[in-house]
Amino acid sequence: MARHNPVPPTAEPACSALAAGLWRCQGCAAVCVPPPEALERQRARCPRCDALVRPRKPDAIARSWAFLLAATALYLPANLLPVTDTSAIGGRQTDTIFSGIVYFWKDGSYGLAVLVFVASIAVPMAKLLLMSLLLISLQRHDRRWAKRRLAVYRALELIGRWSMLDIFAITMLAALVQVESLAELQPGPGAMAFGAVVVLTMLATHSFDPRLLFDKPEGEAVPMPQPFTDPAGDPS
Amino acid sequence: MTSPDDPRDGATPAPPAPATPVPAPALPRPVIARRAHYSLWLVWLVPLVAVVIGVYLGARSILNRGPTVTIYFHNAEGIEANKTHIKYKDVDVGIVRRVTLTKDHREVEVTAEMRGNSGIENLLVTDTRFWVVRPRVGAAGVSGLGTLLSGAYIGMDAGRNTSEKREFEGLDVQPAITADVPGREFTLVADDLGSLDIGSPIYLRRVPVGQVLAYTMMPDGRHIRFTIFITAPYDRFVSAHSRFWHASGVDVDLGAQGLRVQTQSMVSVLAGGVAFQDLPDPDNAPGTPPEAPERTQFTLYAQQSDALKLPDSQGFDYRLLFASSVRGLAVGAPVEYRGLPIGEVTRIAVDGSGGEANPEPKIAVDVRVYPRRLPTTNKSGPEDMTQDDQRKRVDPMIRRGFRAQLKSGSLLTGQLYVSLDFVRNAPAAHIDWTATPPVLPTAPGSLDSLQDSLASVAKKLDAIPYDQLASDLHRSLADLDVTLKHADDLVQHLDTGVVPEAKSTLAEARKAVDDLRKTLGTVDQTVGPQATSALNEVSRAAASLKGLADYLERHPESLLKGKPEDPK
Repeated sequence: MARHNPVPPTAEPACSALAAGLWRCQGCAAVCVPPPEALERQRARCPRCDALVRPRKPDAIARSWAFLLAATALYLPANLLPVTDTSAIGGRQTDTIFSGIVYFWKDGSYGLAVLVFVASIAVPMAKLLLMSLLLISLQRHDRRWAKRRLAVYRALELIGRWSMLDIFAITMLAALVQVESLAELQPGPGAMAFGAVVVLTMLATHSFDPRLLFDKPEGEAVPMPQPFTDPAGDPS
Repeated sequence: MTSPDDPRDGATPAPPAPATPVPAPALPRPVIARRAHYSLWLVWLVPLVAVVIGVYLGARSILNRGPTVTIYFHNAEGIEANKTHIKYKDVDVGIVRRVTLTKDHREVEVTAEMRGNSGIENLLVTDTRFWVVRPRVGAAGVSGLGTLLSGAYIGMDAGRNTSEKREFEGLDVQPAITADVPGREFTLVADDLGSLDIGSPIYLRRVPVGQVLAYTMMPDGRHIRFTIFITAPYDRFVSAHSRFWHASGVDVDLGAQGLRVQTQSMVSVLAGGVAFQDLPDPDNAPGTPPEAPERTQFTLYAQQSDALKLPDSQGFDYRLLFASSVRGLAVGAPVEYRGLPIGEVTRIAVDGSGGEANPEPKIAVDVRVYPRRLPTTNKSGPEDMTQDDQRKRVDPMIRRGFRAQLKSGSLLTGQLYVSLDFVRNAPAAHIDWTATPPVLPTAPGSLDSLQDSLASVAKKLDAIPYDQLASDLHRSLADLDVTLKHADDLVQHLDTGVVPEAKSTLAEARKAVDDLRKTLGTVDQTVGPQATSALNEVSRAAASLKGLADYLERHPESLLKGKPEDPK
């Protein structure tokens, strides 16, 4: 970023590069001016890093919804079906995520129970809820929520990275507990669903374009370009 | 930096009119990328697939849930909810979900959820059985050791019925034979249980071929009905001619035939068992006898000898009337013709009810003889015959003295058997063929007469008062001893004391007689009457002397001691 734009803090926040006729590469943050054909196709390649540059992720909300719904659809089996299938000398036992938590809790490992609960049930649930909230409020163009949307999005980013914890634990256990004929642990159908939930929520957040959070609703005629051209052209 | 021409370049109205204010050269222009070829609806395939998968997983788990069965056990030892599995052929087919007491608190109600996709519904039928597999140590071996570590599980044996059922009574012990073992069930009826138990082995020529599955008391309370299972391929050896008997423990039989000891294998000695075998075919018919159909009922005989009696196809009943005691004769005692078994005693009863017409009721012994049992030198043996044939055969024999007798099979045990034989000089008799059963004439057996005479002798001997005799004899002997001693003394006295004095006395007496004769000679004529009286006196004196001599002879001591006081 060679030039620094001293944006006046008092300026209306809803001023975007797109509104200023600029595209920004998501890979290297290079700002470029799309030629007409790029504008027409709504995509181009970054002149610096050759990444795909698009003014906005296309159909971001719809894609996010699709992945979100898929994740929601799998969330139920992920929590109701057994995730581990342990066969040991003591017999065979299948555990759902929740039964594991209950087991930890009864066993006195409250910390572990809380941890697993948060990572495996609360976080995915929160992701689904927050994402839905975000998308709904975006679609409704609710202005009052503009700032909260941002907070929601940040929370989403924060908790997202914890969601693989459980699948990681299962994979570890399945690899470790393989004592032939004595004890064996195999992932159950719930583990697959759970992994899918995690992946789908990640895809949902990935499909989402946070820049939409700052975009003005299309119907509003934005007065932004005019004041914004000045600082862009001033230093040059 | 290629710039492909876009035909619709001008047509596209760039919405925010980007051209004017932006200092174009300052910012780079992006490379034109290829047109994106995607459609939005493809994204919607993702949730669709996800929903399908979710529905599939959910549906599978719901379908896997399968039917719920309720099993009632006497106790829930080792059964835990969500831990105890139900296994059929060691395949996990269900899991216990709930263990509660029944409402009346008598049994444990175990609710189990079966796996759904295994077609297990078809196996939950009325004769399906459940039991708890625990470690077991029995006579037949050790089983269920694995459950020591893994905990108990519920075993299941699918039945063969078709009517489904969801509530079962759990068995206390594992069934010996599961339904999938090939073979067939048969029924045995016996008088008592013997040393049999569930699981007792069944032997064919000492090869274990099956087991006792169950036994129940029959409603009449007099018989036990056994359900036995003969495993394939041995089940085809069970034919209509098969006979079963107790092969339990050691059979010691002390009967009319003497002492017999029978054992099977050591296991059966310890645990009891049943043996079976086909009867030897009396006609030596070639080929194997036809297989018996499943659940055929057989009699379980007490011992091999009973079981292997030849088939009672052609039996003739006769009644024997005995005037003697039948003590030692039992139902089932053999009837023998000159030592060959030909029949058996079927009934022993008193003939008639007594009364005026029949003041001394005899003992009626009903026997059944099987002429075909008699081995004959012509191979085929006597053919089946009618009563008339029998009559033609037996009547001449009766005329020759063919009689039934009671004989002692064993002097040791006093067991009797019925002997059919020819009795020489038997009083003439005949069979009344109109009676049912015909009464075969009897003769007192050798034992009878012997017994009679022995009895009378014994009676007389019994009548002698041995005790009294002995004491009397003892006393007499003692008296005799004393008397002899006295006689001895007497003789001594006579020798030493009495004889010389008596001699002098006699000499004096003779002198006196001489004197007297002289006197008499002189006085004879002169003193006639006086003489006569004097003679009388002398005669009396002589009598006295004789008395004295007698006395002395009896009481020689009186010469020394004087005459004792006469008690008179």
